[in-house]
Amino acid sequence: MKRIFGQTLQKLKIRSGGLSRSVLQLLLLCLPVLMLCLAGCRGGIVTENTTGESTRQNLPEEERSFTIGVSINSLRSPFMIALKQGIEKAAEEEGIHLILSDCNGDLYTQSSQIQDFVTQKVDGILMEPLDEDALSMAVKEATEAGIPVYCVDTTVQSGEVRCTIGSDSSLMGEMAAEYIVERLKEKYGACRGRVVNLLASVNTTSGRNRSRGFHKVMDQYPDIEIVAEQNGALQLDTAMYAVTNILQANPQVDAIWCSGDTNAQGALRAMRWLGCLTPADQEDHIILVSADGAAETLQAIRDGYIDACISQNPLEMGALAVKTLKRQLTEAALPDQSFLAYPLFVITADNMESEELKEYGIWSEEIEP
Amino acid sequence: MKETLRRELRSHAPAGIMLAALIFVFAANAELFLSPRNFINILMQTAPMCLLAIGLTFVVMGGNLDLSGGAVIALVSVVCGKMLSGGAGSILTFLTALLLGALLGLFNGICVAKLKMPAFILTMATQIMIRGMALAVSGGKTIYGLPESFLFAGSGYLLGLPVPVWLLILLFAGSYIILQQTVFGYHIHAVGDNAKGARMAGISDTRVQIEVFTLAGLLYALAAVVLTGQLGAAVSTSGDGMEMTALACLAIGGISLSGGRGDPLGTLLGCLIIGVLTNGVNMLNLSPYYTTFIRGMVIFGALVIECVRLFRNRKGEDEL
Repeated sequence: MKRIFGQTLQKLKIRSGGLSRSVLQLLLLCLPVLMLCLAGCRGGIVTENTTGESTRQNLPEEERSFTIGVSINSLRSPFMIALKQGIEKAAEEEGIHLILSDCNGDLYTQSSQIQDFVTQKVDGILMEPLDEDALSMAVKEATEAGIPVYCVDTTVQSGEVRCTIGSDSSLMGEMAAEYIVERLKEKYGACRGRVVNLLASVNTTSGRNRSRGFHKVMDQYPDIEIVAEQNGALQLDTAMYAVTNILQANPQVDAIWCSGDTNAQGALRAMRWLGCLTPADQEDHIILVSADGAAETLQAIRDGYIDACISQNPLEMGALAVKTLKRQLTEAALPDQSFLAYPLFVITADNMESEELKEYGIWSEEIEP
Repeated sequence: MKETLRRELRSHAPAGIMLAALIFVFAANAELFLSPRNFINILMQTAPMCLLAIGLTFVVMGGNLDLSGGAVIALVSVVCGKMLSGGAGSILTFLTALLLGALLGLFNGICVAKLKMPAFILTMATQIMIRGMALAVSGGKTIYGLPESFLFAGSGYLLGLPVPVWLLILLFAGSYIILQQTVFGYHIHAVGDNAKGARMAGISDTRVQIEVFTLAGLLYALAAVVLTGQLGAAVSTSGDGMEMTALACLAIGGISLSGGRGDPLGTLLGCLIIGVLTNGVNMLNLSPYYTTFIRGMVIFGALVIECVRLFRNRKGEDEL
């Protein structure tokens, strides 16, 4: 032990004549780092002035405009794209300056984006967190800097988030289960059957809650068996392979809770490959329930392959989030609940053309391509 | 000849044993596991990764690494989607896909061979660039509704077997013959084992490296066409992490990551292990929360067995 210590100490000794050279090298290394730090400090002040000035120029004197930092992952699905567009439109109407950041599904990027917002001293932060636990540090930093943090669609497990605007994912699972139970009752005359729970994700709140809600209702019916529960991950290939394997192992399945549009598309593809995709009026039809409400799902409902979709309205959700945040900033009116649940709509072949659906809003048709 | 064949087969024993063990475990617990239909499903599900792995085999045997496989799959898939939805014919799109893959591979090859960039960092950089291009071209959207004629490569049937299975048989056999029997394969082995020595022996190592990267790019493009055909859609985030899993398959299959050793049979075994694992986990309905961990454990286990074998071989060589 002492020998190893001695040897290490030996190795740390600077070679002869090297001390002055090492110090010089160290100083030379520090120089660019120092310069960067100085530039960063100056840069921060400069940006704040320019953003402040530009927004003040564009709006009337009475209205002080706010800057909201928005961090979402808008590249994964039409749902996310609609969310982003809803936020942008509401911000334009309310005269709020947005700093929109896309994190491309990368957690570290999202975390640094939040920290950047804090550095830029935004008035509020609106985020759609990728993971419910990993971002609590970033959220805490923001709240300690006096910036209110709102979450949209999914939330972070932290008491620091002022408000979450989203759909009640647990309720989505419950509504899906209730729909399936009703259909099974029609088919068999009793509440029995074999169902599959295809998860949306294993590490987001919304994903886990959709499954939880599903279980909450299904566990009440002892004769309805959940024969398989696998992760579709809302990825087309993962969902397709998972459903192929599940249906291979369990040829007799009555219904699949797809938990999301991409999962449902994967399930459709798998069933087409296995040759068991039949429309709703046929006897061996497998009941498919999707969620969110993308255009392909609605088309599949019209074709009779998907039976129901627990739709959200991300355009309105994004708008509501921006408006609620603005209200807090202007009137200091804290939202009365920490979770504002945006209502859901169960779209089926029967109510596709109805007035109620039009009023709720078919968001997949309203987004700009 | 028979001696070398037996030696080669013995070198694949660890991977073979692991595969047999997995099949045994799953077959014992899921009655429909051992059906021909399920075997076809396993081959279908691993087909894109297998094609990527064959391409990677050429590169790794030549002494380099290529981390851009998954990204090339994403870009080629997206470009195909755009072309098809813009009204281009299926054959034209298919040829464009192959050409694009080959060009991307050529770019990698030139950077590594002529500009002497280290392959690991270079392909990591191209991976990021190519993925970025895929996102930019697609706007992040998935393109559905592709014509059936194009999807034939992924979901069509030929003489009772799905097209991807034929492609796998063809390409595994073809790559085995190329690598073990042809002069080109001999050059690849030589360059992979000792590039400087090969150059002194008159083999142009830069040329070989460019050729393997281009060939790999071509195979990645084929993988993209098969994947798009299976999914019926062009997904801009395809192949994420696929190259790393393929690399693991190569390692399990006994292909040395420093080059010059191994053969495509090992790649096949490695890919089958991963495919059987994913399929078995779904069929047995194992908890989705543990799936990733189980996969890591299996890869680790296979690597341990492979390393034990190498260790014993090396001890044998030392004693000689």
